[in-house]
Amino acid sequence: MEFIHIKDFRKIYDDNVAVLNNFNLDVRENEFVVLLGPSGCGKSTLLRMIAGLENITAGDLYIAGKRVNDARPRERNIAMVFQNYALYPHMNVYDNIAFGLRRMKMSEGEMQRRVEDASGLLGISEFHRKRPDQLSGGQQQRVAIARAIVKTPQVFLFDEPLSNLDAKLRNSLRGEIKKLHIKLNTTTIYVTHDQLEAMTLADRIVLMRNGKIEQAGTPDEIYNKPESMFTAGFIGTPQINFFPVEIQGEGNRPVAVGDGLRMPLPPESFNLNIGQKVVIGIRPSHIEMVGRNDGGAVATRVDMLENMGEETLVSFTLGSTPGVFLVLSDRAPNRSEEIFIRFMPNKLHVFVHDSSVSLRRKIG
Amino acid sequence: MRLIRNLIGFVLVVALALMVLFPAAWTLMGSFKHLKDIVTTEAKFIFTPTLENYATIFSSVDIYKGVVNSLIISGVATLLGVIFGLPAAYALSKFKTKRTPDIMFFILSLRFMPPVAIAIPWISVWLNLNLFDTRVAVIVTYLITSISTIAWMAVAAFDRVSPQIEEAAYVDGYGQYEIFWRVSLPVAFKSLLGAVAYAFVVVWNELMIGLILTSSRSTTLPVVAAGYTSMGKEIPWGVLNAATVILAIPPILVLGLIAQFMSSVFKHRGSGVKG
Repeated sequence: MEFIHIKDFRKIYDDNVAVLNNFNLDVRENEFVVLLGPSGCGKSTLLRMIAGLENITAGDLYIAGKRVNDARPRERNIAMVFQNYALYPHMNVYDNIAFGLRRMKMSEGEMQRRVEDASGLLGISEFHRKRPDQLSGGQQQRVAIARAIVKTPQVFLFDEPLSNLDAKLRNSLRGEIKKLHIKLNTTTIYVTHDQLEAMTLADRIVLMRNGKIEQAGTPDEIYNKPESMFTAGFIGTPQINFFPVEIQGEGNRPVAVGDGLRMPLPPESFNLNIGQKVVIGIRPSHIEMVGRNDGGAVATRVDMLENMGEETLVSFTLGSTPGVFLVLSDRAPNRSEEIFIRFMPNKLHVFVHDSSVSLRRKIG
Repeated sequence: MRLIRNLIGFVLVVALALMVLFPAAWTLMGSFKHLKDIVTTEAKFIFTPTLENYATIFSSVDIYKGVVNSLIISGVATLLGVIFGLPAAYALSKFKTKRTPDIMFFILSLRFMPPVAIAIPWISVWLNLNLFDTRVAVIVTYLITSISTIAWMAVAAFDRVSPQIEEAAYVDGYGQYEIFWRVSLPVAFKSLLGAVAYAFVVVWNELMIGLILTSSRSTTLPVVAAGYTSMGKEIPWGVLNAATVILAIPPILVLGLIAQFMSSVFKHRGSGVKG
């Protein structure tokens, strides 16, 4: 059953720019939904509309079956974590966490118990008497998360909570947010532009672009079955390779023919027409090096090697189109070496050249 | 090279400090000198100190009246400036519209006006209302200065309060007025204190409007002190120096003591941690 129901959302600012237009999204109870997209795609605006920090120009917002378009944040029973922590600088950690509870006119004992519980979960009990400016960024964001969970809201809203932290802290706090969701199981909407955060945290990723949903699905669906070149390009590091080709017939098998590239395509997976201009997408980990040209392989030369430890990123060029693939470091080729590479057929993506829409056959 | 640059910097700083501090120190010394030690052809650094000048001042009814008038007038004008100026500044900072820059310029323009231009029209107003030479008249006239000074400076102070902090309080369940009292005001407090102290000092030091709008009952301290200069060659330099020192004490206190006191008060108010 949907817990948050967003119907025909529209957001227009004073300058008549529509940030969102006819936006629809349902979030199930206990679900962890990540709104992912480049900056300016409307994901933060959407989150702030759900929080009650932005007016809803048109459309309806339901939380737990109740229409809350005009409700103040406290009537929506939500809690929010901001990118820049937004702790109250004039209060110590304890008061920061308790501030929302004070508004609820809670007894001092109950309040203390809940602040202790939340601080314990985030490992910040020892900082109660410190002020925010005496804490590191990671500690401050823990306080902000504790301040959110202490209210036991129906919905958690995260607005790029890890963007201001360095890479190492980001990874560890990301893991803790995931653990917290497993433990508390609160419906969560999480905004980020970091595809790795989206992949690791989400039950469902909603990839947004220009105020519209580009694709929504599980991390597995988004990664393995991108419906557009945008989705395929946005998710995954190193980035997916794209090669423009034309479909030609060889017997009754479709063959992709491009600059320095010729390979048969599996017709059962894609809707292909002879003569069609398409783009092939293949992820760097789905290209393998083969010893000799056994038919499906293409010949190329190694342009550059980037040792990433366990694996090495190999750059090559097909015709005039550059590409990369990953190989185990102890099997890496040498620079300028002539090699044969093969695209794993069941990992291929094919997109229409002009519209960039996927040609994958929908099963069922 | 670096040593030379540091040396030049040091000398410059010392020179600037001397330029600022020497007249102040000279005035302070002068306030403890007999007239014969002041009216000499060469500067005297060694002299027999006297409290005579201060005794003259504290026995003078005029000066006593000036101190009381100045404290009441500056205090009330500043207080009203806070009461009207801070909410105005908060609204200007947090609810910006197309007109905000115009309003801000209007507020600033009030400070451009020469005091004489403000005071002369008010003479007829207060004379007609039969309030000329009253504290009320001076206070109301000074409100132009105190409200505009406090509002102008406080807008900048409220601008520095991150909107996310206020949004966090909004999400935490608080309304607009509670957010002003419990978050924005305490967060901006230190900067606001500077604005208020500055407004107090500006009003305290003001001479021209006070000179024009008062004649005897409501004269402020600067007006009284200025009165001593109009005695031609018979200027009682020592008394004048002592009056200047007294005049300078409140601004110095305001900037030092009150700032520390108030910020420590607010530091303890926010925290309710049980040990």
